[in-house]
Amino acid sequence: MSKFVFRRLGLLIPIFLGISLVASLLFYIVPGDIVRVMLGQHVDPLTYANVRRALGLDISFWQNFLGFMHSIIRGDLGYSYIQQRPVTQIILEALPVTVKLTVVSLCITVIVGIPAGIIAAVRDRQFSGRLINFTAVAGISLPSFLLALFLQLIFGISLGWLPVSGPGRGLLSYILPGLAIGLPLAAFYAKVARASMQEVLTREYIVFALSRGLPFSRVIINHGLRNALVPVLTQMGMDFGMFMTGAVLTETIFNLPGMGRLVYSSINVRDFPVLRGILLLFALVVVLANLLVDLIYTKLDPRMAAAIVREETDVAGQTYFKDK
Amino acid sequence: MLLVKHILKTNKSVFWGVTVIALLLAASLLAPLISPADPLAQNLRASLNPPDGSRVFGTDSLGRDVFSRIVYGSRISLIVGVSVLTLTMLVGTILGTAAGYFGGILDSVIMRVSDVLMSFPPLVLAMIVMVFTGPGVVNLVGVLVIIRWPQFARLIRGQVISTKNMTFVDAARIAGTPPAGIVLKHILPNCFLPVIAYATMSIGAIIVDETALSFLGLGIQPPDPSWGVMLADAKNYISVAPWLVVFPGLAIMITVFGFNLLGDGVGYLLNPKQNNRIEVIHGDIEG
Repeated sequence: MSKFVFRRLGLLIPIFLGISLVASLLFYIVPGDIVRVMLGQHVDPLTYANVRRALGLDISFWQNFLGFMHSIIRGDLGYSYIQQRPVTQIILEALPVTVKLTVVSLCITVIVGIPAGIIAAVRDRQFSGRLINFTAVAGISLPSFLLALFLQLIFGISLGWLPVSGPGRGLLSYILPGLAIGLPLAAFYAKVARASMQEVLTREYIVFALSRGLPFSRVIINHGLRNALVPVLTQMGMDFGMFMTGAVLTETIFNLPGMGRLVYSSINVRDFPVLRGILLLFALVVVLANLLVDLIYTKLDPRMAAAIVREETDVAGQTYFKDK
Repeated sequence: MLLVKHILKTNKSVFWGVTVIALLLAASLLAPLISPADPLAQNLRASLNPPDGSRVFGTDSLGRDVFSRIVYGSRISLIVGVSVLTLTMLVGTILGTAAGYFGGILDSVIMRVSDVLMSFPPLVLAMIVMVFTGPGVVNLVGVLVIIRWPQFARLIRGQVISTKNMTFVDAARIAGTPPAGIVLKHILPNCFLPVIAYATMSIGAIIVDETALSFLGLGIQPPDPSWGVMLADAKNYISVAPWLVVFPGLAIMITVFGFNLLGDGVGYLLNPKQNNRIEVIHGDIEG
């Protein structure tokens, strides 16, 4: 198993190389003179020359790229000339906000989405099941940034219950943004969980467990849930990266100084060193999240441990059970 | 015709989806007749007026009629949605078919390019490209095609691979049909069924993408009445003029809901046994 973990971590190297290459190219392919874009048209020649040298634009692209690779190994992601601070420091400041937001929204997604999907599957033909399914389609149709504005309007401004701007009030500040991200995803996961549970319910081992006379709820929880959760987890592994950098709009609307807002502001002011650092971090998070999901798989289903270690899977951990 | 009638009667998802889309089409075609005012006409003396008899959805910060702007905004949403979907299907079908049918190096190259594109967060990728190309409808459509074609190409590729070894394709080949004929007449028509539901739901997601980018100031530019542009402006007045958020927001929500309902219903019709199949359409590009 540890061999497998190491090999999976080894995948980071080509991904890092690729993303660094693309992100470093940004300095060269941006239209116009990047230094003038960053500093404005009327910059004095000395500053211009200094910044140009500091960005490594006076040397060739490959020298610049290799220099960056060398500094990454030392844990140095470069320097932001807009903020006059090291990129690592800027990212480390933004990261905790996004981590908190991710935890809150993930909790909401899991607590609301999965039980709703299971109930919808079990009560497929009843009114409650249909209501959940209908609500889920409606929820998927509600974009997070729109829900964010609606929540601000209702709970922040009309009722005044919860803060709508900034991270100042601890966990309370994260409730509305967490709901904005978590609820539409909960709707989506409810659909995934419902589909997967319905499939599981037709399996022979469920019929067998029921005919042995086990209580229905126990069959659902002990036999059904465990198997139904696999596709949900797969989806979650794929989405985790989106959680981390995807909250651009929500963080902007709620004025939370996290990674999403950092992405937005660094694109707006052309702060490419910061953008490059964020893209690298993103790749790291995606690979680690997929690894984590694979490890959880092995706990849910022992058959998978063998399949994973034999590497009968692609990078995203997709093809465990082509056809059971 | 009879079949269409039967479907509309028995499948409520399809019925409501079609109704919403028909209303949207009507609004965008008849915009000059429906809207009481010019969507761009400013009137600073009537700024931020709440909804009343003459201005049913109120006025925005520049005194423009919100109802008229929403009606005209439906044009932008539909144009962007349909053109992005058409181009995505075109690019995705060509590349996906090429990859699936010919395989080999071509397949690897196309799939690796799509891997790279899919490994970026879509919204971030779209934002970076928009910054390079500058805002505007044409660039916006281009960017949305760039972030959408990989998924589509993958779907088509999978279908082509599973179809190309079927007996009827072999029969056509033995009968001497040229490769172009095999692909166009025998393989593709058999690939499109699963694509239809996906495509329907994609329109909703594309409209969300457009509004999100316009909301960030990277898509449609003011003063054009895109729903996203309207929301971006409304955000600054949310505490004094909530109607500016509510009405464009509802417009987006109902539109996307309509397309998703239709997609849900179509998916059910095409595959009634597996109606519980996972619809892997994530509404928006944001988490």
